[in-house]
Amino acid sequence: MAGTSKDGDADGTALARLLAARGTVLKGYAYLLCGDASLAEDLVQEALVRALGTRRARSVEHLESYVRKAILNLVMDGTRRRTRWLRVRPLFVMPTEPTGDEGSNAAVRLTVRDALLGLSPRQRACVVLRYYDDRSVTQIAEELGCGEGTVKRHLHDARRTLADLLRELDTTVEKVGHGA
Amino acid sequence: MEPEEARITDALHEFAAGAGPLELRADDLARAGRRRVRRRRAAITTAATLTVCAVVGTTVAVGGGTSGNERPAASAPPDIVRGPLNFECGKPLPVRPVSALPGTSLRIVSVEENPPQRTAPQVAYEIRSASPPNLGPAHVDGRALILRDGIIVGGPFVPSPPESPMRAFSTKSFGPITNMPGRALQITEGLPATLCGTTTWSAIRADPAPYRIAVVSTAYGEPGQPAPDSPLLIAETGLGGR
Repeated sequence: MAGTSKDGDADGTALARLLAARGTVLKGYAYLLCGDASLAEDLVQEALVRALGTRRARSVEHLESYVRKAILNLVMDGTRRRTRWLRVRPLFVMPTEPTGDEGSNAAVRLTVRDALLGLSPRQRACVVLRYYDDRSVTQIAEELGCGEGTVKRHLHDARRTLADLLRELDTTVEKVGHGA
Repeated sequence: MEPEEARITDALHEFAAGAGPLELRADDLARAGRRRVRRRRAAITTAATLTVCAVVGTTVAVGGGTSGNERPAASAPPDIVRGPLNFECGKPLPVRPVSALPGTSLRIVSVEENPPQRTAPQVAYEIRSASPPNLGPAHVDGRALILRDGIIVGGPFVPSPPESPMRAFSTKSFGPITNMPGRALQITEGLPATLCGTTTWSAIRADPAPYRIAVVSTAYGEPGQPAPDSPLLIAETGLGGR
């Protein structure tokens, strides 16, 4: 029993450190993969609870790596169920007001969001792992359980789509800037 | 990295920053993690028990033995209440309750179906114990709660908004008090008018299916003795006693 309590304390400490140091980054990672801030929070929560249920992820680094993998799996598998928390969440969480910064960058974010959501889940995962997580093609292939050629093809297609949209967005912003 | 790729990287970082900070609390998560581990262990114990039972049953059947005294191993023992329990909004019950205790029974008799306008319904329940009511300070004497998917959404004290004419406190009345062991003690309790978070009685009445009225209690002790450590006994029903 004492052992259990000790394990629980260690879990709690690692978790508190991870949340303090990397919580926002993890949420951003989940947000990129799913495109919804509330859903991203739920994904991180579910992944963290899963990580705590294993004996493998004890240090902060291992915990983060496990949580990232779990978030990716949750998104990719599409097997995330409506958890208890998700069902009762609206009862306890008040919606937050958007900040001024959110308002000013809304157009950019909406464009990126639409572009990301327009990609297939695998393409999106490849893009996020490559350009946000800075993983190599080999690492992405291992992570997603597919060949390097497949990853390269996904990256090529996704990059073309995203680059076109971003170029278009930059042109629009430039025109608006000149107009103002 | 090509300029095109650098632009995508920038855009992704900018977009990710819009997710905002994570609003999860480490202690809540750690608790949820521990619950998951406990549930998994209980499931493993149950599976192991069933396997043992199946093996024993097969062995007995094949060997033609008639060892009627063998019983399956018990599953995970219930949590014992050893200190004051805190029932908190938005959290599950602090210990896993049991639905039956030797020598003590708890049942919900009725839940008021059509309470007067702007009042919370009353719940009537019955505690029958081999011992007369004698609880220690750490123990739970019949306490009514409202649960949604196992999460407490009503019961703990929540201050009522200033404009609300409804009472925030629940009221309790007892049937005939008796010191006779084995005699049932009838308690009628007004459920709290002010509930947790954004939960309201009008919302519950509009969609009562996910909600359960629960009454919890620990076992009574012998007269003059402190109440024994006991599991938390629970009785549940839907709204309107369904």
